[in-house]
Amino acid sequence: MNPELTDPYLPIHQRLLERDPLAPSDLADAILDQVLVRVRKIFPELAHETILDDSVADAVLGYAERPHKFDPSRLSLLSYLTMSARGDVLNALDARKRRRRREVSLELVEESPAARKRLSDHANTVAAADETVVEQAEIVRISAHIEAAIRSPMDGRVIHLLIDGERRTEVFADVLGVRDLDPAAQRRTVKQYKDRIKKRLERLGVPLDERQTT
Amino acid sequence: MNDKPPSRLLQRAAERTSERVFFLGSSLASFQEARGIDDSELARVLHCDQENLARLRLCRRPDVDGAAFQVEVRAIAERFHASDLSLAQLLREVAAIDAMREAGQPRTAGFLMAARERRRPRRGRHRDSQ
Repeated sequence: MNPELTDPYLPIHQRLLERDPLAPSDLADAILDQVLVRVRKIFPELAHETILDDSVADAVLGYAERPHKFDPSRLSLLSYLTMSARGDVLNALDARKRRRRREVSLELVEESPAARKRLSDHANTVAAADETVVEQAEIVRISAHIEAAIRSPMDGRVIHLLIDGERRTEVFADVLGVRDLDPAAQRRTVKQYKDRIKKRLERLGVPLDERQTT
Repeated sequence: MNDKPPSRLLQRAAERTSERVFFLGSSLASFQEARGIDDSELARVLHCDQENLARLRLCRRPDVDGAAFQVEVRAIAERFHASDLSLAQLLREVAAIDAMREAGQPRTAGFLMAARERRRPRRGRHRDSQ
């Protein structure tokens, strides 16, 4: 049967196409929970995870922004949004898997003194604008992220210290050239610099151990 | 209007509008950030019930430069028992903030005051000069 004949959400779809400012809110009110029920049936093992809520919310919000992408002659709006949310869940699961794999890899690097030394040497080398080929594939991959985070030789030296687990403020203050400041100002400057580096590394997917950045 | 309290999922969706410029929620979030205010204060600014904020955030954001701006603001305000004047003022302020931000200026409270000043009609100055 043609879904257009039975779809109860077509009036809202039409209002979205006409850019009725209230339509997205009415849509969310009418359909969010229904889509969630369907998506939970597809992923029963994730029934209590926020990943489902977020995927359903994003599917509905995305459709409200671009209603013309939905073709009512092909399937019902509920089915369309369920499919869209299902795709978002799969993407989110994939991203989570990749993130976990990366964290495990970094843990391995952190736990291995030899690997740490090589990673540390590499950060130094990058800071000196030289190039080194790191043999072990995982280290190469993480090094690439670290490389991207280095914007100056000073960044390279600070990241090198962070990877080495250095925590003494005075060592960082030396590198930053702020040893002549009073101790409180040194601490503040070092913390600001480390926070900035940490954020940059996090954005690039290199989570540092909390102890390395405090 | 749906008189039921918003579901947990509706609240979640409303929160996620803060990063999507299509939705009114993005403007409300910018306004809250610039003023440093929470939801109860935002509801007070808009003269509406705090419970209506989630559904309000999920509306399409009226374009301050669009021909239908006033009509759309009035429709939204009427539906959620909010002040249309306050909502229109809020949207204009946020538009001014966005314009100044694009020009590279920060979003501080003082900056918001400057943005308001910039958009305020200059009746006082006109009177002074008479």
